Amino acid sequence: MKRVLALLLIMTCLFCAGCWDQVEITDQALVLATGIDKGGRAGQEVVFTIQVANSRVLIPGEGGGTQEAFWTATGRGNTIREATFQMFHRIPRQVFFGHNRIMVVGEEVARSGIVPYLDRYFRSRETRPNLYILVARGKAQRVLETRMPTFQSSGMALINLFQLGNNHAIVPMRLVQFIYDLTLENTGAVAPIVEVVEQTSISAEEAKTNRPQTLSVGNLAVFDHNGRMVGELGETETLGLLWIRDWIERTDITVSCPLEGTKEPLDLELIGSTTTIRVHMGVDGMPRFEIQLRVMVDVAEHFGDHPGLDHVWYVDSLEKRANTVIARQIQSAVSKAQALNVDIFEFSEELRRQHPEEWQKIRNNWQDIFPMLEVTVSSKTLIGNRGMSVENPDSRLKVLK
Amino acid sequence: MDNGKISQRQLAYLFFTVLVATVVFYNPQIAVGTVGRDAWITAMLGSIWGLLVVVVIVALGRRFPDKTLTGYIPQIIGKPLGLVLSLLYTVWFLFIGAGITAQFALFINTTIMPDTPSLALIITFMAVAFYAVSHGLEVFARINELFVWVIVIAILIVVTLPYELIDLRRLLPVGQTSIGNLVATSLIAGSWRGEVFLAGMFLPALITMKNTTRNLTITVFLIGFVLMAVEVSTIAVFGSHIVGDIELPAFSLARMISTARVLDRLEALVVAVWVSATFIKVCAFLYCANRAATDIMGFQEHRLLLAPITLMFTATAHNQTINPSQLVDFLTITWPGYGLLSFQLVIPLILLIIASLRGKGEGKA
Repeated sequence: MKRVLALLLIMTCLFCAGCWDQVEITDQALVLATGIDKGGRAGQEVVFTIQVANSRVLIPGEGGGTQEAFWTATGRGNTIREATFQMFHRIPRQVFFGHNRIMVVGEEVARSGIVPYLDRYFRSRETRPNLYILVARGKAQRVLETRMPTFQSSGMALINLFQLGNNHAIVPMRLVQFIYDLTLENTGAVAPIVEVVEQTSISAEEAKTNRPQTLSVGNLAVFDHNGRMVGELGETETLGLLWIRDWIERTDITVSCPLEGTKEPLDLELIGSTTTIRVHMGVDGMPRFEIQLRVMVDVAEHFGDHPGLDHVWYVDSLEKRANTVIARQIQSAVSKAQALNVDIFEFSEELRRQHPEEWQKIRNNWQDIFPMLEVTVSSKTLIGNRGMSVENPDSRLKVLK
Repeated sequence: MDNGKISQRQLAYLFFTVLVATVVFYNPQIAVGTVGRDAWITAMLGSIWGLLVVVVIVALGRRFPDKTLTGYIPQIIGKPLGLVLSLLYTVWFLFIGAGITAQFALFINTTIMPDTPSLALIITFMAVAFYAVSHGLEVFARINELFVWVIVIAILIVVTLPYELIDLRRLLPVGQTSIGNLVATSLIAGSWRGEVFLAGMFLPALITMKNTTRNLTITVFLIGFVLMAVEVSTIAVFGSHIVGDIELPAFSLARMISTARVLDRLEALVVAVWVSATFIKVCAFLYCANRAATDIMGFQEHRLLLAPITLMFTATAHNQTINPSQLVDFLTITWPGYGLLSFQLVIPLILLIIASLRGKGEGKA
């Protein structure tokens, strides 16, 4: 009996070798980024582009040389899935979406309503909903086809850029956060905009012969609560949004020198900040939003030839100026959002958290109320340190007034 | 009869696994879909239902210390009626246990192995369960002592590691749902917690009855905390609107983990939890079905009926292979009535009342 069992066990091992559904990594087409555009003709509503890593180039020691690091393919169809299958006719590999970290949405798609295009990314077994979403200026296909001198592939460049976090006005937007904002009643969502620009960091000699292109990420596309892109936030407005939503990580604040008669700018670098939103209900039933900030900054640069940072009053004055700059950034974001009539700050959600009963009363009129909301900013900036120097070089000879 | 004896600790661990197995995967979607961001309250309310079940079933067990649930039912309400009720309980174990097996196959099909036929999954699974149960209660109770730590640690990891995406403000404001709605929804989570009534089949196998109520109550409340943690974490990551719309929120939660570029793609952990926990759970149900059938037939040898029961289990599981919409429909509408409100709580409670009125059992309750 034991012999029979032992034989059976050994036989079982034959079936456990893992060769059944084996797929070698070189046989797979690892998708890095996907792009969605709108097709012109009927029956071809979706133009779906994938950017696939050339896995040979990615293996250290192997490949490299003249081989391209990626290739792209484009399919058309009624749905994203149909477009994908249509693509398979030309791809002699198994397409794998598990490493897809970037979703680029063409501007036309964004403006006509993004919601139908999101389902596939959530339903797919392979794609993870924590991928990053971007809006392309123009066609998404063009973004993915761009070969840039600064990175192996445009998709990987975007992944790398976003993994650095919120860097100044770059906002890595994960699909879960984007969809969360869209699903909230009365709340709109934002996504960063990517565009193809000319590479400028090469020598003038090279620029004469060929003009390589690269990607630039900046500004934010604003989606209303129906998922339609209705406008754009510029750099200042983006920073204002980041302050309000407490997403800001790394940025600088440029303030003017407190000394009379000089126009020397000082650059303050953000160390950390926390934002609290307080909602006060007015007697007329209108909510008033107070945005409270505590900001820690360091002095990063004093662009001038006057001394000053050795004086307490000077530093105090810098802090006040920083408060003004932050308040201005926030107000510009608020007025832009109010002009577009899209609540991208989760103000409606904040009102519900703090005053659930009042929220019930005005939730259906939010579109009428939001453009008239009063938003006040009270920020408190603290200067932590002034870097590795006290005053700018050669400034001690000047006399401080 | 199976002479396997288990300790109090083994019983508590066993019920931790049995109760946690399917609820953390299927309940969040239903609860959040019904009551939104207050779903975690229903997870805790469910514990109270579980506590009631524990009190009733242990009180019954103390009256008949050497008999299982299906063993003492005929003693309480008389032979003909008692046999019918015992048979209904056997069918309950069979039906729900097979349903869990079908859910196992559904989960594996949904998440990692879409191409594998569910029948293949069910048959291999039941073959292992048959092997474990045929060696008696002690065997799978002891395997579970290993599994339970894997399960606890894996759930802790899945709940805490998406910390970058967790925003607890999404749970505010608390308590905007009406109490009636909360209680009604807690019946669904409570029906899973009510599975603790399976203890009625295990009590005679205990070395000592001391502290049974306390240990099972602690287990039931721990499950409440685990379920609450899963629901809080999924709502904080996805927001309450989305959790109701995604299949298997706990699995999706594991997919979101990407920590330090090293800990990535941890959904295999969830599958490990699912496979090990469901295995123990199906073993427990198979054991109960077999034990109940043996009691009804009055057999002494417990292995005699195990093979046919396992076959019926497999066939019923295959029959119950349903799509997720049907499953959620069953769990939302039928499950509380079929579970907590009848077989788990109400019938044992009536039995207890009759037993104490008629003075059946040793009356030590």
